[in-house]
Amino acid sequence: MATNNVHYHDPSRRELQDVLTCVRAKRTIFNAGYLLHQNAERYLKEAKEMERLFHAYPEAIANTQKIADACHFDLKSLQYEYPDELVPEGMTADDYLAEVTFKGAHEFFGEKLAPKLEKQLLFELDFVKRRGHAKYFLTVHDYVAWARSQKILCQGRGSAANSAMCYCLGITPVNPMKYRLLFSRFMSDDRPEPPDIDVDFEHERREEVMQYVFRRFGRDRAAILPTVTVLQSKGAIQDVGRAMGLQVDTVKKLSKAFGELADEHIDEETIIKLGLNPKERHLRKVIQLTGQLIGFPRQLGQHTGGFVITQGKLSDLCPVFHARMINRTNIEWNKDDIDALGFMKVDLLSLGMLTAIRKAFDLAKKHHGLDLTLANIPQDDPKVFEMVTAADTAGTFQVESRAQMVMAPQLRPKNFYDLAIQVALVRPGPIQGDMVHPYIKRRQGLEPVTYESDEIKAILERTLGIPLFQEQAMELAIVAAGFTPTEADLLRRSMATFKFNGLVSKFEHKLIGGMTARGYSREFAERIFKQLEGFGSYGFPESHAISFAHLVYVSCWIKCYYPDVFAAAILNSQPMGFYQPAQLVSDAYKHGVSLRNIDINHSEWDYTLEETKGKFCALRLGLRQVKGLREEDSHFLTAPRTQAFTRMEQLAEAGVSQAGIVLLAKADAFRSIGLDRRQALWEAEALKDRPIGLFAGQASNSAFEPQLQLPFMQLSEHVLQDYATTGLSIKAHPLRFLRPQLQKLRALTTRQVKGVANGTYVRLAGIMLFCQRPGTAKGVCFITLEDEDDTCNLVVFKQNFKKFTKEILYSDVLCVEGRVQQEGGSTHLIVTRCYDYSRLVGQLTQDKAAEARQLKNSTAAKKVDPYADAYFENTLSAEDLKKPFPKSRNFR
Amino acid sequence: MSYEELQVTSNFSFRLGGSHPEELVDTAADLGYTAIALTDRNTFAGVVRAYVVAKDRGIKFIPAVRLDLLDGPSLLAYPTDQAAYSRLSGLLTLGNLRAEKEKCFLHKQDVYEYAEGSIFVIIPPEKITADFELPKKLKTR
Repeated sequence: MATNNVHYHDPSRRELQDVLTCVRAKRTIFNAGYLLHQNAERYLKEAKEMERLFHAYPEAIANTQKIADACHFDLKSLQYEYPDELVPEGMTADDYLAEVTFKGAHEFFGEKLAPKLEKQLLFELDFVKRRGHAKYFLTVHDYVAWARSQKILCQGRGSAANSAMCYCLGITPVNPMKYRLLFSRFMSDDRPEPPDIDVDFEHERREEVMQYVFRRFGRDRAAILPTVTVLQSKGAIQDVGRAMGLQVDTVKKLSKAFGELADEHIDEETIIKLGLNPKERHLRKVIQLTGQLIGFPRQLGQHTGGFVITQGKLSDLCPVFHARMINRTNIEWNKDDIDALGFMKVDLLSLGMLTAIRKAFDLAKKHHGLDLTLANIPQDDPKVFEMVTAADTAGTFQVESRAQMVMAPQLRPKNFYDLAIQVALVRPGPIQGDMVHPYIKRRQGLEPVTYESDEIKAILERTLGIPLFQEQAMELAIVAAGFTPTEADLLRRSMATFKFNGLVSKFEHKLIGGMTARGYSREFAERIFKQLEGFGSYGFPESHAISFAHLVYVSCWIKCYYPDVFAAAILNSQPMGFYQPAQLVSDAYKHGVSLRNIDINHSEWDYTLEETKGKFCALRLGLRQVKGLREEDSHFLTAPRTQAFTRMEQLAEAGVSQAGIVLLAKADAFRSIGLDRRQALWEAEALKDRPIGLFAGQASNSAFEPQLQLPFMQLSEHVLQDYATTGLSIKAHPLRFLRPQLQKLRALTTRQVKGVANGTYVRLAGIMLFCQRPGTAKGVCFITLEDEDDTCNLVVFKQNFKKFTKEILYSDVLCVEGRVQQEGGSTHLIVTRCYDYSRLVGQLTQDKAAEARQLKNSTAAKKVDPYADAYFENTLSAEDLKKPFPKSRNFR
Repeated sequence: MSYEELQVTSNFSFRLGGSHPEELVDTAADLGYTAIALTDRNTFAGVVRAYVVAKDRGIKFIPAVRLDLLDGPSLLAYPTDQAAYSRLSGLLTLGNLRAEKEKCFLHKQDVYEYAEGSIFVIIPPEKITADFELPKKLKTR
């Protein structure tokens, strides 16, 4: 058979292919030698050219055609079949689904169903029957029911999930009879694709559900979809740079330039800034090849939880392989491939908030005697909405972000649906599509709400005339512009998938044309289109918003009424959400929860609630907060806790490792046996010569030594060391100790800033919590700064960010100057200058670390004090103290 | 009788192919080919993407594979019908599940078991040596 052994579609790709060869062989282009192809001929040639090359072997040419003709298999003919076994023998899937659905309906609504509900259920069941998807719903119902039986919290979302049927099947807890029914509207007969229900599970327990699915259907019939991870700019430049023989530090510089806060593409200016010559040919080639390599598949990674389940053997359809994670098998095709072939997939996603909510329910039961479920939390409580409006939402689901907190006082949610709108509205898409401000104006009654026609009113009334949800966009396209449901669905898809970005524009002509033809003004049509285009990648389906809003409400309700329970639950589910433990703990304190320090005799691994103090239970910090402590050590500590430890040796006898004891001492966890941090460290050192074996239990040598009077540690030092060892301190805020100096430097506190008049020029210092540069904000950087009082939002415009990047990214204590903007109940500081005040942190300690270094380096000191070395080894090194505060969370 | 390109490596043979499957099929259609195959190394990971473009451009797409064996020369395998395709898919599954991720351990013996209905082409080694010979059971049909 004649063949050109094609490796690229075009001869120009030969260079890239050589680079790939180098990456594979870990060589550079200069020493790869014979590993590279000899020439650039492995491209897709014209048939004529191939025939000329092989003219001596016409048979070889003919063979290619023969083989091609003999292959009759078309991927289209792969037929997907739903699994069968969920239906009891002698019943059809449709009948069984109807039976299960009505059984659930009676459980929720009693013997007598409202005629409206019954009609809706029958309509939905009939629709599912016509489309042949009964087994799909039964499959989802099966694992959701199993999860329920295991007390795993879960909640479904997606267009099909917000149906009366899914409510009755227990897949979603949001009663669709209360809200609009979205199910029927767009599941038109035009769309042959399978329905889509995503189910979120507690992130800590999703694996159990996944393993259940594997068990239920068998490993040969169920597998996880992979994601094809592709090379991003950072990885691509590393690959190309190394292969092209650039120096290691140059490669590092370049890949850093693509880092988390930098701009995506490399422009000449950036290259000059890196100290490189953008005109240099070798470098230009590197950048050109990098451009080609971006987007290349790198590996088949783990999907977030999409499953394919089949009736027959899965490997008949597609090869199966082992995932990196133990006990998981994947197929080779991803979500898009599956979609293209029309296979069913189900999504088992994980959600940290569900874990936190479950933990909160457990704690509420234990300490407050409440029996809470997702469904029985009291609905429509005005206090909850007041709390959201006041932006007092740290730690809650979705509405905790900076943007949400800024918008909440203006949006003033009053009911559940308002929350759904808030979740969907305060996102990059609507912000970019310029929908937020019109909506707020209309909501506050500053702008009249008008509709172009009654049909538009019907679609947009619930969002005050602003198209906000994907469903509305589709409805608009159908009703106002004459799209067929299929076309509208294409529109939805192009909005939903980022890689088709730009595709929305293709609909511009059709949408505007269709609307003007139906008598709408061109201006109105263009505005609608612009709003839809703004949806771009981030459009949000109403069905998701409603499901999310439910969790927003539940988490806010818990926070509102039981801040003690809420704080413990969130802290025990870390890492999740926006906030660091330090802020979550101080937030609980602000809500009247008393705090208890980490202690060997009282703390568990997790945060726990202790006896009621005031309105709420006191929150005991958990051992999980001690940096570097192994969970195993904490079990040795907590398991034998029948009587309190009174001496440090008892810890070692219980099995806690020496390293663990030192970490606990550093974290100041020995107060209950009368040792402060420094004394505890001293004692921990003595443990090393503890009598063991035959002599265990006898007093050690050190017991006969005279007690040393150790130098007293200042509170400021303790706070700093708390931060360094546990990431937070409940003793005080570090800024408190800097305040006298800051006052001399004329820096205000956040509370003072909130009180000054609009436009005042102020100086403010604090610790940076977040630094965010959303792609939608044209290079503007949003920073949240914290001091001993509160937090303050900073806005840094692009040129100032460029000017002060170093100060912003690398300061422990950041000081800023700028004008205060008071607007709609929130305060912003528009930053014009930044200073690095990190040196002030050094004054918090008496600089023992520096002293230590001096002592260590002098042998004379050692002679005088043989313990000096050991003692200072166990204190924090200068390195530890250099970055005492948790790194701010920086993201786009 | 005209030529069709039946040995095509895409970038789903990681760090080997220099083009996306979509680009390859698109170019084949531009050049007037009526059919094209994709033969990535021990994987079908790229075939659906290629198929989608081929369907769009109206040319025939043959999902195929290059089998790299532990104990023999590499083979190109072309399934003639769905049953043969399923067998090849099963063969790759067998090899995948024997090995850790991103590896596929296959022997000549396995190929014999799953060979029915597929056309095989043997890829000659870089250098033809005396011990290179055709295994008897595998013949071009």
